[in-house]
Amino acid sequence: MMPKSERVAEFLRRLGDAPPASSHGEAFDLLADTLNRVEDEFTDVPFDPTRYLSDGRLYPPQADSSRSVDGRPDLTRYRSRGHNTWIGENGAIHVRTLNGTVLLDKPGAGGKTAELV
Amino acid sequence: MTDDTLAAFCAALERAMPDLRMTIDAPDDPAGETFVDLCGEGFKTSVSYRPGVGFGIFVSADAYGARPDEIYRDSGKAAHRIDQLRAQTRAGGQPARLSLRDMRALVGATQTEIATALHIKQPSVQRAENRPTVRLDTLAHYVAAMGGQLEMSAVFDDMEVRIEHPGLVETRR
Repeated sequence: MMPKSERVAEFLRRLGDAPPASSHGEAFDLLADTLNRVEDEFTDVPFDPTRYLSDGRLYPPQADSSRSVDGRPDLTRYRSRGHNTWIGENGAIHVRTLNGTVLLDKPGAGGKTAELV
Repeated sequence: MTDDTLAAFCAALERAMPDLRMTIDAPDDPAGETFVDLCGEGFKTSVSYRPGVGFGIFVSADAYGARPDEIYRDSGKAAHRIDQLRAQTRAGGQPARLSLRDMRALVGATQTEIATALHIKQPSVQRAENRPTVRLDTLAHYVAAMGGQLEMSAVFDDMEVRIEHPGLVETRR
């Protein structure tokens, strides 16, 4: 099985290269589909989103874990253990670690990024 | 499990580790996944909490989308486990998977109590906890003496199977 760090790098590369999304829903699905394809391709762990305990597979953000963003009604934040993912109504996707390192700043179909400070 | 469970977890952490800084990152949906970020004296971790499921504790290295390595339905045990992980860090090590000794501490049992339940002497329990190898039936009985159940599975590229073994079956509840 490919190490997690390499799978995450592949996921971010593919997500960055994918055609931009034009809505929150499209971006959310694009992110999930991209990560799930990488995990299908590089692991043998079956997809089981209901499983809470680690099975070795990486899972995309879940809809019930969204957070509103103060002063930015156009953005939704999804939290995971060590990362935040912001998705814009324009389809922009921004991923950064909790300590602030930006891993992906993908614009939406209109060319605008999430424009986080 | 409700917000009261999360509050009990935070209160237990504050009692055991008053110097630990705690930040709660809650979702809009109360049924969603809350994160409790903990930081202090060189120790840093995040705990996931899902109402109705429990507390997810991370031990392995972080990766985007990784799920918790351990699940606790009891807020006190979850806080105790964080204390164990912090102690490992303070001792200069890295957070490690649950050892037999740590598991026994979490359930609040002494070596003598385990020995009595297994009809063996306390030093035998001590040896089992410290040895790099342990017999499968000894391990199964050790876990059963604490009220748990040992399960074993084998994972291959193309299959994942639960293994049955006489040493496991005889301790099954």
